[in-house]
Amino acid sequence: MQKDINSLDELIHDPSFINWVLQSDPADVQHWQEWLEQNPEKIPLAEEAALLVKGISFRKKQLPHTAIAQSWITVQTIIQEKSKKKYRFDTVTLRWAASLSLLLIGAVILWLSFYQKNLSYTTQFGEIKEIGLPDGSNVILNANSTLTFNPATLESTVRKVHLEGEAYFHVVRKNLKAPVKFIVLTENGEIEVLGTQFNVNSRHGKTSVVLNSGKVKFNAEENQNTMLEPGDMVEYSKDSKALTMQKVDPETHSSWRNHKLKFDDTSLLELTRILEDNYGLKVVIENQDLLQEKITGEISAKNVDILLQAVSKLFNIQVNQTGKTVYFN
Amino acid sequence: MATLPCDINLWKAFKKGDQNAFHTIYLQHYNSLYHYSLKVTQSKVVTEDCLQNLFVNLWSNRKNLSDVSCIKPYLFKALRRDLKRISYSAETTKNKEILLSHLATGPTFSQEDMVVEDETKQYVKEQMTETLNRLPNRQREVIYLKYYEDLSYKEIAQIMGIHYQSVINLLFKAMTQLKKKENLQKLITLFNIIFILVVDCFLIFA
Repeated sequence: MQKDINSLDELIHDPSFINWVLQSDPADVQHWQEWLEQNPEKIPLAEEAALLVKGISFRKKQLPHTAIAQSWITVQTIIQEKSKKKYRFDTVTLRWAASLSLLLIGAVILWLSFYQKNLSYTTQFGEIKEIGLPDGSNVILNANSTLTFNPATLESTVRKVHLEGEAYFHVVRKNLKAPVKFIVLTENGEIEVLGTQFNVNSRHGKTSVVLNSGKVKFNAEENQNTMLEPGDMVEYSKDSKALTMQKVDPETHSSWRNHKLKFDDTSLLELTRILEDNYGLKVVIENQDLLQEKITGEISAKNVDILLQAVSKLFNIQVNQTGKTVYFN
Repeated sequence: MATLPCDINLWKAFKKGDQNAFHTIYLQHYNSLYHYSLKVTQSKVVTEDCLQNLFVNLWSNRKNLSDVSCIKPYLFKALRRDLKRISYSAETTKNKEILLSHLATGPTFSQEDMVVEDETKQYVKEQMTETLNRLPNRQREVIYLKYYEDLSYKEIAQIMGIHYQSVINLLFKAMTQLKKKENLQKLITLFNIIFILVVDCFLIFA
């Protein structure tokens, strides 16, 4: 015999042997009968194997298809309900939601900081306001003036503010990688600085800059620009396109910030300008010669009445006030 | 019942969330799992509940499941574990509705399951059922999985968490027991016939 079978395990997995047990293949039946005749000592083993192969025949039951379909629907319903509930507590979803909302909040903050509306400070007649800028610089805004800036850009690479009227700037130096410029935009040109103190007056189509300390560059239109040294006053008007420069006492031009008016050979004409610009008064002078009268000195400018009294004394003129109109005689 | 092809691709598709694959697995195995559970729990309600949980959990945890080359033994193993758990929880919660005696004791056979050559011999069925149900739990389980479900020895070993050789040993023990009983029964029948013949002879000659 070609086969030497020794274990139960071999027999129960032998398809030919299974066929013999189940009497399903005549050739196999014959083969195994011969084999058993030749190997009678294997008969008990073959009987044991046959016992396992034959086994027990059971009547197998099949559930009706409708029952299986019904239970499938139930399972699907439970899964759907579970997934709805799970949605609330699913950590992955929660994480996504959290990061998405964080992104959104970040985007809103960024958007707000970049597209933040310009901040605007305006002073009334006779009012002086001190404004601390986000970069640490200080601006004293004279009466009847407006300072506008974007807080976000003040913290970036170029600091820019827009001025209408008069203001005294105390710009602090700022270094990121390179010194950060501070630019004051006026109707008639811009003042470019790094860190310094200066006065800017931009009224009646004319901008005048008086430098107290440091160094500034005044840029008028069309490449007209000039560097200012302390004590320099530069004036420029769009109409005449003339850039004039002269030496002045800087304190005279910025004394207003301490609620004082300092005069150094100042004419009444200039004073009336101040009264009109800063206090909103309308000055009426019958005697035009008076306008050329000049004075030197200092008067308190906190109170209009006291100021007018002082003017009256200094110029030796009579001052009458009716509402917002002042008569000098 | 023909053994179903062990389809690793079907399982992979299911794991990826393929509803059709899930439905196919369900249709292929629901019947087998149902009857196994029914044999163990003897309760249709518990069985339906148990299978619902099995498939719902299967779907919810599909991403965490390992790759399975043969689905049927895998499902049987999972079901077997669930049935054990139910029996424990039934013990702890004292749930009287679940017949504790039937739980975790392996399958219980009924006369309807039996096929005998001569269907008129009801008593043969009765005796076979009785003998089967008197076998130890594990032997009954092996018999069920082997001859009712046509699972291979290896698959049974996997399901029951025992060695391959243990499966064969258990089955062999069970079958020899049954054979003994059967032979004994035959012997008794033979004695009965002889007895009747003897009595008849005696009556005739007397």
